[in-house]
Amino acid sequence: MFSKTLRISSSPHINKGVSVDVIMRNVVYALLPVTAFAVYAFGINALLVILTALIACVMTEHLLNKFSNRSSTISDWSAVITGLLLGLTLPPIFPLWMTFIGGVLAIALGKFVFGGL
Amino acid sequence: MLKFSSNTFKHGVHPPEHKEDTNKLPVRQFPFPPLIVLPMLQHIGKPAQVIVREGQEVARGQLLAKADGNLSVPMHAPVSGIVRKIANVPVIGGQKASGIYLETFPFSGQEVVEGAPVPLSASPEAILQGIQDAGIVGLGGAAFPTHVKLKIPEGKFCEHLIINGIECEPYLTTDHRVMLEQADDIFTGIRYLLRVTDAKQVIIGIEANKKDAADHLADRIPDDLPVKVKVVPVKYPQGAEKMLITALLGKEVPSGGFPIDVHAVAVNVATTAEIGRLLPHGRGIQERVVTITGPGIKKKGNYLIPIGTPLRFVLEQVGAAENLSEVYMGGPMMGVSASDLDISIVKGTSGIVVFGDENVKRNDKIYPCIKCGACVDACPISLNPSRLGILAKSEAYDTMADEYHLMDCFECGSCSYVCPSNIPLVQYFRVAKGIVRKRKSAVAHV
Repeated sequence: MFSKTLRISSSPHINKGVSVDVIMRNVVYALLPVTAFAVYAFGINALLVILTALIACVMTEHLLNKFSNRSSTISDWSAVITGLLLGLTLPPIFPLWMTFIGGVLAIALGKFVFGGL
Repeated sequence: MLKFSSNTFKHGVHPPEHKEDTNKLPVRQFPFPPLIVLPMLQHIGKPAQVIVREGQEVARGQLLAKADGNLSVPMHAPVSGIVRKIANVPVIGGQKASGIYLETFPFSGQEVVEGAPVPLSASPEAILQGIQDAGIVGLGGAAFPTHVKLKIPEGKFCEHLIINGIECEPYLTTDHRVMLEQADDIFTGIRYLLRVTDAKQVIIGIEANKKDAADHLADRIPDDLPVKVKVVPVKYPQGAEKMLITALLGKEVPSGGFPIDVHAVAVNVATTAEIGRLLPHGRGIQERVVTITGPGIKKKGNYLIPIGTPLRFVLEQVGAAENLSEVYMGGPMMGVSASDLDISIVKGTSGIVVFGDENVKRNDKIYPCIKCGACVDACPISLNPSRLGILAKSEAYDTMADEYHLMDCFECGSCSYVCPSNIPLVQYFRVAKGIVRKRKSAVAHV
């Protein structure tokens, strides 16, 4: 009986269970109405800018994780937030290629070089 | 009489309680194990010194080891039996420490031998000596020698005697059961404590989730005792004595100070009951109430277990799941996880919580701090765990101690409990405190 090795850990042994990805996802939910209104007010251009920024951020995150042999951090939603926020702050008539570069730099410089979420 | 107090301390957390599994179950006597493993250091201070020989037959309650100086307590035989071996025994941290292997007489009646009684009329000094001789330590988990705590320093006085029946740790129900079942012992204990501390009033602090215990005690207060029962809202870590003093008296114990600085002395309710039970008979501690619970246990309950009972024996008796994964001595917030099932129940063991494989759902990934401030809102003594955590990572231990009051942290675990990034803040602080203490003593020895 009880042949298994025990796991030991440092106290406290329980956690409230509200983890970073949950918080980040909630932030995304909170941004959705704003995003919807932005599209309603500024039309398809705004949607394109936001989508470009989103795609740039998530893609950069994915590629950099892959090239630096790190496990994927897409699922913690932080890259999505970066993309959304960037897209929302830019003017709707902003050129998409500039938006794209902005997204790439936000993740590559802001997150990968200096760390943090 | 019984009023719901809105008074509590600032911040704190509300972990799920899980007390309903065991709080209705009366304390049951646990069987005597065939072999007792008794470490000599079960308290804070110096280990007790063994005074028996290998091969010697001892009776239950007989003195096995005497106290080594003032910051130490003696050890009594938890069972009648033969001293098999005086050697190093396994203890919780994974290391070994001096101790005694005691083989139980299988057919002994296990009567307890009694020593010289310490009557209530004895002098305060004699009662303090009696408390030390009985081997009494804080049974709430800290295991600090009670007689040291009760000694009022020169020039100070005690006005409030606080009996701590908070039991804020999730899962644990030992104090709850002790309050329901040992009311007479508690009040006798309070009489002894009043003799020693000369306090003007006694407050029994109980959390609102133990209303039955509060009513039970309030109904039984003897007319000649200045005792009040105060019910406070449920919040962790209210059972920490400094938090409790803030909750009950509205005063804050100064940083680095002791309760006596606000004219208070706080004693755990089970410790009080033990004083009231042992001193009139001159006995020593041989057993204690332990809550055995957690999802990995079949026969959950509150058991009166002889000190020194090996953990493996305990778990076999209560039908622990075979796939048990983590075993905590104490509650899940401040308890220590056992690395080995050969360690034994000690005086400070208030509970055993067992989690099976499927119950340990820990996400081991540690995210960077997102500066959400949840830990700052949780810290009961208003430290800044977030900042302290960042400093710990860059090993700025002296800054932590000098500028951010690291040494006031009592490791309640509230910050790690709420941290969304899974940062093991308490572990960082434990390491940092150890290093700061070492550096300080190194400086003192130069």
